[in-house]
Amino acid sequence: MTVILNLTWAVVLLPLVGAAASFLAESPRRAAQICVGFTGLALATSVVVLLFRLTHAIPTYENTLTFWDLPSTSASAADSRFFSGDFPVLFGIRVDPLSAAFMASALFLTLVVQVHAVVSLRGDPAFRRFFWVASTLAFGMLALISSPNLFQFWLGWEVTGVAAWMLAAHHWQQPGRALAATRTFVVLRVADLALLLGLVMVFAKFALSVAKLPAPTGQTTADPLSFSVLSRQWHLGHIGAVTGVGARTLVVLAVLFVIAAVIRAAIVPFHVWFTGVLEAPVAGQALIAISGLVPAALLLARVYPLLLEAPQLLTVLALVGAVGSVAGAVLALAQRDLFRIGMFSVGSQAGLILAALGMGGYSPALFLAFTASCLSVLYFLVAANLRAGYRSHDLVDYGGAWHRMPRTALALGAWAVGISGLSLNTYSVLSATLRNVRPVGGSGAGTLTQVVVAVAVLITMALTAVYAFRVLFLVATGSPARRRGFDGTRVSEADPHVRRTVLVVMAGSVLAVLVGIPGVNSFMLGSRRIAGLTFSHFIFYGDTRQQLALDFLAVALAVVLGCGGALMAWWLFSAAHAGAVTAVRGRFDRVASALAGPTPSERVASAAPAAFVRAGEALDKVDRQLLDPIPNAMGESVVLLSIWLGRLRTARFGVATAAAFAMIAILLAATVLAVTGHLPITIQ
Amino acid sequence: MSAALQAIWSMAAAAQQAPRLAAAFQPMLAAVSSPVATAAAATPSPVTAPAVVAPQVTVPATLPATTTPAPTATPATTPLDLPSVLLSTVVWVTTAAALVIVLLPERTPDQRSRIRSIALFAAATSLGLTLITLGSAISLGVGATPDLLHEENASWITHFAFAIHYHLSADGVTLCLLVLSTVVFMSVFIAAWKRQERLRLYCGLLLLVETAVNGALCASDLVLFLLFFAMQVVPLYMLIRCFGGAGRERAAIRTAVAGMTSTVLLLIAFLLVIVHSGVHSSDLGDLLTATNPLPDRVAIAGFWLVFAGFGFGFVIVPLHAMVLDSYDAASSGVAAIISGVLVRLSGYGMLRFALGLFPAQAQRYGTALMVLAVLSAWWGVLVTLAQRTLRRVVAAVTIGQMSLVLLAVAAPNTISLEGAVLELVAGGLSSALLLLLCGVIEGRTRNFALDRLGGLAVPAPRLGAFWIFGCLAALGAPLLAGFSAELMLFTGAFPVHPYATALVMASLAVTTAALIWSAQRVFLGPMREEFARVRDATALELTYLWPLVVFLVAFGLLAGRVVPVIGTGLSRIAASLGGAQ
Repeated sequence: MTVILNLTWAVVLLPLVGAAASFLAESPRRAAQICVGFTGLALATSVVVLLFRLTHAIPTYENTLTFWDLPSTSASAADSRFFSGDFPVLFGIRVDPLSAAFMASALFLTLVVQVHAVVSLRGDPAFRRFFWVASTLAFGMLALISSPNLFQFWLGWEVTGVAAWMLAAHHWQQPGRALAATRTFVVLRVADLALLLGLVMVFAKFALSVAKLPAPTGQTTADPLSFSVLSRQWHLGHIGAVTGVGARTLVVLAVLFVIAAVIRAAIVPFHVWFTGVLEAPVAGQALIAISGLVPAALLLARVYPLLLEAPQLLTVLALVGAVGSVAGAVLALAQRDLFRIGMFSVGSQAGLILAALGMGGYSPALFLAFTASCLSVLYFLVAANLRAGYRSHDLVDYGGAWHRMPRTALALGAWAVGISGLSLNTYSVLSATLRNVRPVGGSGAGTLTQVVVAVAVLITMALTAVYAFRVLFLVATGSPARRRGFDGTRVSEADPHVRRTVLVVMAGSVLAVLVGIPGVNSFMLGSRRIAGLTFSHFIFYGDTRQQLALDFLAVALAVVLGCGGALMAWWLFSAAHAGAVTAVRGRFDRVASALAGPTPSERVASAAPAAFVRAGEALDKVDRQLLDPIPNAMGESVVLLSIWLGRLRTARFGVATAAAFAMIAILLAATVLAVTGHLPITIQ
Repeated sequence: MSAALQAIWSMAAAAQQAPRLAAAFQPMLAAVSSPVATAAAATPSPVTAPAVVAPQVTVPATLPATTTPAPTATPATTPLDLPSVLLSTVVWVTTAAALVIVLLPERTPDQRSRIRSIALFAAATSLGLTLITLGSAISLGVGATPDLLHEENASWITHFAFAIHYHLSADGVTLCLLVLSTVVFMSVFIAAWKRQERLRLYCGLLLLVETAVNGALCASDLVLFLLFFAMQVVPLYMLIRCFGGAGRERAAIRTAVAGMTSTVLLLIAFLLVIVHSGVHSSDLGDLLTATNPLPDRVAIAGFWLVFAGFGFGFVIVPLHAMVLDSYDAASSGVAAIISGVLVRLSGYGMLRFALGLFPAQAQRYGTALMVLAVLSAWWGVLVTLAQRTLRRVVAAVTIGQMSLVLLAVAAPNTISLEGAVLELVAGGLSSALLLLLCGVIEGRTRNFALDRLGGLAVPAPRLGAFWIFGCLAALGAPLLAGFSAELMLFTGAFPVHPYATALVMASLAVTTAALIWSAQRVFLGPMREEFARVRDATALELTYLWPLVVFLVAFGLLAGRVVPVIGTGLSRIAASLGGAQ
């Protein structure tokens, strides 16, 4: 049994091996094939692990190797300020339903994107680089998905950050793109540092307590950063059983993790890093989108027991997610740029995930992350095809895709149905929101928060349906706008290879959605209880009691909102009604054009570097005008003294060299004489 | 082959610290050596556990018996009771090479080639011996590794007011920094391979500086340390003065003044300690085990004098201006040595002497040090953004790197100090890499200003890749040396100064911005016409850049093996810190 579970090692490492092996290939095409091959192999292996995990009711399996295990050599045990225990750092694998499902999902999406890029990036000067960076990003994601502890999670998190930057800087030769990529990296680095600070604080606060636990087999001490160990320690800390840990500590820790997740998930207004990604190749954008969504959701899922012990944070998380999801949906609705719509869509979905987590919907949130990552990739690949066909980002330039690019339009329709909730992938979020009278943990602000979050989720779902179908109708109906140098009649379907890839993602997305519905955990077949193979059955936290009535209500609401949004979009944006709603469209366009530009946070992000540079220039001025003159004066004094002594000016370098060597030689001779006892020095 | 293996084997066996290494070499030795040597190697040793006996090797004459017994560990001896000369070899081989070089002519290309070869051979010998020693320490494992892996102790001046020893020792901390020093020096020597003018002077002075640095790292006697520390001042002055660029006169004299001032401050501090300790010895071991505690005022004065003494080289705000000027004015190789080795030597001094000799004072003034660390971190990163040349960017980043080490000094515990040592190594390697690259870029473009560069990655992609790697290494990217260093340093410092740790960590985001921005301005974006013919990295440049990259990766991947060795080296400091509470 463990042999199959240990295949997870191969799942994690195969993409990295592929990235390394690609350097050995002579041609870029061969390098791409190697990367795709290794990713495919990893996917096949991950499917084996997933199937095994689905068919065997086994506890969480962990297998770790020690990166270092430093025994304490500190003599400062008496002082509680100093840590004096061991410092073990381990890396390894953790096979549980969450990791098994997300590994397969992440690898499937990476493989599809790589296959798509084989054609869409053909002729690109950095063809080879894209593939090995994509494989490295996959390795980073897999490392954090299968991580048994916070250390490895942070390692994977950083690797994905660096890889995202490299993908964003794919076209670094073009003006402005490198700067945008730099902004991406710096903002992601803030999230990295928040996570690092959380990691450091976890170690500082819990290491001593964990050190008292019995060591697992093969380890000299328990891992203080292990998720399994910490899931118990959070509660012990909450009840005061861990020295130096109280409610405040848990809140601070939760805040750090939430900050890291919110930034990484590109939730409005922290989406600024994603704007830099929009200059990357579309395949890169698709990968970066999932490298934002999945790690953020996984981080919150792994520290969910901590969030339960700090209920205030759950409330905050729900509110931040709700506000972010509404803002993302509004901004997505206002955009005309196809890729900015994708960016805000990802942020909006991430907001819903956070809101669901804040409302206690662990399984719905992760299910949404599972489907949203597939739908995001689908959207970006569809957008790539559309851009290739219409040679424009602007929605205004599109039209008639249903006739000219039917398969792409079909995929876009599938995305619209999926993202709007009509495919019932978001009903469980709604159900979770409605189920809880107050957030888990029972904060005093529960009822009002629950209402606000529930309303926000409803609004988001409605707006999502509107913007998704707006895109569909503007692209699929009517005819392309007339532009100079563009012949709308020549728009045709993308390359068959690319087309097939998009359809495969669409099929994957449909499958991802299907595993979430109908949400029945189990049913009786005669006298035999059959476990329902649904997502919520497979991945859950706490009990999995169902309230079927509430679920049905949520399904009804989701359908109503989705259909309502779709009808609204049809009425407003379909070419069939273009003449009838001109006045309303005019008003919408005015509002939308006001919102379509850079958001305030994007403006702040653009202005922030200048402010930092000005501060740096001020300090540099202090350096030059205040601090530099001191050593200058000291140096000049020495020179003046030397001149006065009449030595330096007349001395040539040859003499100085000889003097230096003579000094060294004398020193050496004195050393040898003294060591051998021939230089007795007596000074009384 | 046989002779080379014999020499390596004998060195390991003579030191008596690498039984596993020696055992590992034994089959190879048996395969290639003569029957006599093989038979000798098969004879069990009466003294040591591994079944090896030192073959007949030529060893220098036995040193005179010490009047003061070795304070901490028994000097390593061979089964023939011969002293180890490993550390002396590491330290003095470069001086010997310098003396040989001085006598050689440098008129023809062949003669210059000979000079280069000798210098490189000496540097490579130091590096090779250091690596063997570190490898043996790692192979011994945590439990078996003594505090002092290698030690040479002999009385030097005994009839003075206090006894001065020729006491060299190498623990884990020393060994890691020795690796840093010898790798950087070797890279710089290779970088000078094409130099034609005044080669003899350049190599000779560099070799002397290497002796000074390696000697200071190994010195376990305060006077000996001071001698080595002061020994770098004149050669460094001349290296900047003779081989620098614009503003070299000013930079040289400033660096020399900083060095002299440091030496004087340290001299005063050390004399205070020696005189008031009552042990009549300048040996560090004796002073650390002195039963009489230093008077409070003396200890306070001593601590701040030592702190200020190393502060000039440590580039702490507000003392950072003394040395940073030399980054711009010196040749790139010398700048790499200043940033990669000499600045880190000051960091080593801060750990070894400011913390080791004055643990109570270091803890008492921990808050002040913490404030300085935060100030330095933010000052450094903000100033980085305002720099106009690549070298000044690297110089300003050094301030931020050293502020991390200062944070560890302000919050001293085992983990933070181990992280600090690793940070010294990682920072030294990365800044040396970046400064050597600065030299290459300046040589190619004849340009120093950041705003006149751009798009260099198009004609020189390998240089761009190296630069970005150097930036990522300086930032502590995953799986590189800085990654483990920062993790340990922050983990150790957080319990003591949580807010300061958070502030210093926050500064890393701005450092990221500064370094990536520099990479973007120089290498990314559209290529400038005037740089269309810029050559990419040549084979020679790859030869000296790759070792730095390899060691950055090796220290990152093998952190789990290296850090325990560093920990054993820090045990004395940790013990003194514990005793100080």
